[in-house]
Amino acid sequence: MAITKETAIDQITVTENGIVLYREATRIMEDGVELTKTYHRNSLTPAQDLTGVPDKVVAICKTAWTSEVIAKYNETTGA
Amino acid sequence: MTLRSAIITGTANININGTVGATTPSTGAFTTVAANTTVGVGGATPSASGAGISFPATQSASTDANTLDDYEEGTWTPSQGAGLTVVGTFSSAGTYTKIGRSVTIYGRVSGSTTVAVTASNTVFCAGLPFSGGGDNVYPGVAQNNSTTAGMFTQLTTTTIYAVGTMPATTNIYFSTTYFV
Repeated sequence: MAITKETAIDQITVTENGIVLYREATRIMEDGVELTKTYHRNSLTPAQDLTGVPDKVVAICKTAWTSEVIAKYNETTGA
Repeated sequence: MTLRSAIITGTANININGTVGATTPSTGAFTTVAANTTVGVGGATPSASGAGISFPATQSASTDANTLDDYEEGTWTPSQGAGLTVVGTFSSAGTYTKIGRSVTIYGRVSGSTTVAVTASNTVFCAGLPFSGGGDNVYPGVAQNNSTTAGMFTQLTTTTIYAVGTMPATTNIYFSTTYFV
């Protein structure tokens, strides 16, 4: 009987204005059968500091956050 | 296959898959579902713990006004907004529950010494767990040890604005419900 813990980014969404939303799922498994799972969500705005953000999400952010997307987002927020 | 009715005794999990769910059920009812029984809808694997209804991990959105198509609960991390003055180290925590298109959030932003909102209508935190379509601004309330102030969401930027100022204390707590 082996109890294991698995953590994975199981959802990433990029909105039209460049917001990146992602969900981290943590699953507790016993012999491959899921006993329980919990979720943690985050959202990131264009050009936000990515320190501590999972690599998979960072890669998406770097692709989505072109200079045009960042400039347009800053225009709409007055940043 | 049409599921008409069922009586379940003992401990069991029921999975009503997409094939059954795609049909219009005939009149019938679950009359007894034993304790510690979970039911998966939309092909979801029934939870191994507790008793209740398990929804798919990814919402299968319904346009029908009488259909509950999603449930999810979890945590989120509020990030520091430009309008939040932090003395010391910033920390935060939050929880959310999504029922259908309704999202209720709770959050806390803290400073190891203090946090304060010194100007009105500024972003004091960001990182909402869900962004939205439709209406963008939803009102809520923020509170510290001495002051209660209004706040509002801006879903397109997943940010929360403080309506008024809040004096320096260790924590600011806030809550709101919005629709996506």
